[in-house]
Amino acid sequence: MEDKYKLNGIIGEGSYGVVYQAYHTETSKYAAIKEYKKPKRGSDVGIMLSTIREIKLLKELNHEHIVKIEDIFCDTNERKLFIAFEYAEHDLIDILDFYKKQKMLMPEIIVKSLMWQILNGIHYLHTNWIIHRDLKPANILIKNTSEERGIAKIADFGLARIFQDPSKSLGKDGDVVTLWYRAPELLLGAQHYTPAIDMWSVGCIFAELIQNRELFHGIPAKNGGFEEDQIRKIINILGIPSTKWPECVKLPYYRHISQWEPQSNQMNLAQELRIESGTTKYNLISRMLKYDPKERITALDALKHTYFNEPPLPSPYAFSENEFEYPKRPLKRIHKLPQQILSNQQQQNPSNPSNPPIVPIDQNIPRISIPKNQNRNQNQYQNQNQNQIKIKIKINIKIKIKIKIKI
Amino acid sequence: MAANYWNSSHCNRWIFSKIKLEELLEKNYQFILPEHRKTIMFFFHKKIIQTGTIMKCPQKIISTCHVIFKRFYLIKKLTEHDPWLIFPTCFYLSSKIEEWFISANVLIEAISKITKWEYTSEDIFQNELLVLGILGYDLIVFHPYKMLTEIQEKGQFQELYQLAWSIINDSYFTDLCLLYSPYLLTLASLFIASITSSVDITSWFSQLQITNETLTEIKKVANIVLEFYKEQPLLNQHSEKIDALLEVVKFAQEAETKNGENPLHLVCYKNTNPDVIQEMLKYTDPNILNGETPLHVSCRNGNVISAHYLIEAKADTTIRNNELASDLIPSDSAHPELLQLLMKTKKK
Repeated sequence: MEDKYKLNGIIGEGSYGVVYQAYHTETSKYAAIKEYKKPKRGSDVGIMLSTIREIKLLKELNHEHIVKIEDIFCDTNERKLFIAFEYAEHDLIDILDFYKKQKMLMPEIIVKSLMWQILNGIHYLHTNWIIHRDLKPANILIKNTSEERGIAKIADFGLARIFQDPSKSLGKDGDVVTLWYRAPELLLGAQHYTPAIDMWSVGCIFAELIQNRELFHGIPAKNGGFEEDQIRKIINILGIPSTKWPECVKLPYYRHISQWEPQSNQMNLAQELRIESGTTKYNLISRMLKYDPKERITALDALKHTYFNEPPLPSPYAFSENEFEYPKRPLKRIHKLPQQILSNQQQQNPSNPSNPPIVPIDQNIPRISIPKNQNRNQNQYQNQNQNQIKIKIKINIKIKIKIKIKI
Repeated sequence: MAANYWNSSHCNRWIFSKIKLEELLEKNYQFILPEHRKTIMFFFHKKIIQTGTIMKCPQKIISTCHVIFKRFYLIKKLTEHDPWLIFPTCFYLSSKIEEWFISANVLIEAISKITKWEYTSEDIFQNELLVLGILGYDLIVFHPYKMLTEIQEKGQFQELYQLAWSIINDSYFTDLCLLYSPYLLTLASLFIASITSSVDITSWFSQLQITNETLTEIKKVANIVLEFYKEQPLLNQHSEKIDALLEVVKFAQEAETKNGENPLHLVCYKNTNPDVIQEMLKYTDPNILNGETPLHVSCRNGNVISAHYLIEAKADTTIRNNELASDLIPSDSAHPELLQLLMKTKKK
């Protein structure tokens, strides 16, 4: 039997397992194969809830700007699960890092096209009663091949949920959305929330594309619970919420901020982003970042916004007029091959009795030759380290300030 | 699409025509009596409900479990995977699908209250992947309750709501969820409820512009449900001997794999559970020949119990086997009991 996929190297690792870059030998297409680790004893829950969510939703969804599942394989004896996703050359972080390194802002046409595509994907999700609950640049993949230059794909549905008559209230799922992209109602402990939380995240992503750094770069609270620094960063730019969002006083954590005074050096969003407050761009982003979730713009209204109707018009291929070579994903060597994945592959379909796809992994995969862009990769890692150091320094400064105040 | 039934895997891959469904069942169950399959499935659907009741979980988890359990045994044979393990696995998976996660240990505790359960959580985890694969990774299941609740929320047919709801619950005992859309099942459950409560629903149906074709379908569904209600007491009674039934099915399957073998001969060779042979003798000729009669097998193997029931079922003790070897004399003189039994029969 011919091997369906060949594994080229590792492109990501996380608590869930490993992601391989794989090559489909029949279609000559790349895929990203996620291998899910067997959970440790004691914390074993079988297949993780996030994996079930991802399979459940992505198997049913079908949209240009939502990442697709190409294949699923499982090995019941080893208790391993493999999901092959359509391959994307970059994620949004790669693109942002590239412009950071070039010390330039992302061209307006790219910002607009990517926003247009992302909103299209979100609109599709919301009309299907799905909240993504973890939108951030790392979860926006960017396809960039000669045929498809610059297509955004929303990925990672591990926190995504159907919000139509839920068995359990959404609030009981614990913290959702990565801190910097978390909507104010979540930060104030709301138990009931709506797709508007995704729109807040989209607003944060929009700002990040415009100014090429995170808009609300809060430091996580040590013990969880009330995220003071994050909400302070928001208030620094958007002001005190209660005046614009009367219902916020009912939320559990409101008591923590009820005494906060407006700051003397209060910024505003237009200043922060360095855009004119009269522009359509400003109007759109400010409506995404409304405190009151009911006032926040919906994905559909955002798509209808005049910003997208004035030149430069958004393009279906964000990079079509762009000549940059964005760095390719670094490939790491595979030290341990997944054992004979899929000899007893289980996928069967009653109405489609053709033989289920089987993916045996070639045991003799040549070691990956060191990619040309290795230097670049090293730089990337260095940069990451620098960022971490910076954060640490910031924390130190903060402590010092606190001490001074006490004195 | 996750919210649109008509684009879903449920609609496009898991709803079958009656003929197609029968074809698929025939493939896995051709050597098993339809009543047996029905009774076993009925029994385990009841176990699913009992588990759900103990866990106090929302109806949706129970119903999704019913559907995936049914889909599993549409593809796989009852004899190949033990339903005692598959139903808890389906329940566990269903709790994840419907976002009402229960830990495997809590589930096992609940199941231990309704039966002596011999598996571990590790077994559930391993089979979870198996079930997932058999389901083709299609996990979103649509149910008739949603439309029913929408109708009730509009203030229509308040008086039918409860009854229609429980009719939907009962519909999961049948194969209806593999045959019809959840919408049709909602309409059919309202239709049955309206008849039993003497409420007129026909004008509402015409408001909905329900075609004659759909109405015929609704009536077909209603008939299947009513048929189930008629059968229910009998199914209940039969399912008391579930262990024997599962054995019978296993013997039938084993006979199928061993070419030319007859299940009754296998039973007389191996089995000592009186319920199993009794069940089999209900529909099998005790003198069925396969080179020898079942009684020959019993005697040769000293299986007193099966010989006893064969004779009780008026098995002929005079038939000779292929080798024309002998009358029915147990080869081994160490079976005095059996010898006695045969002597008694001969005297008569």
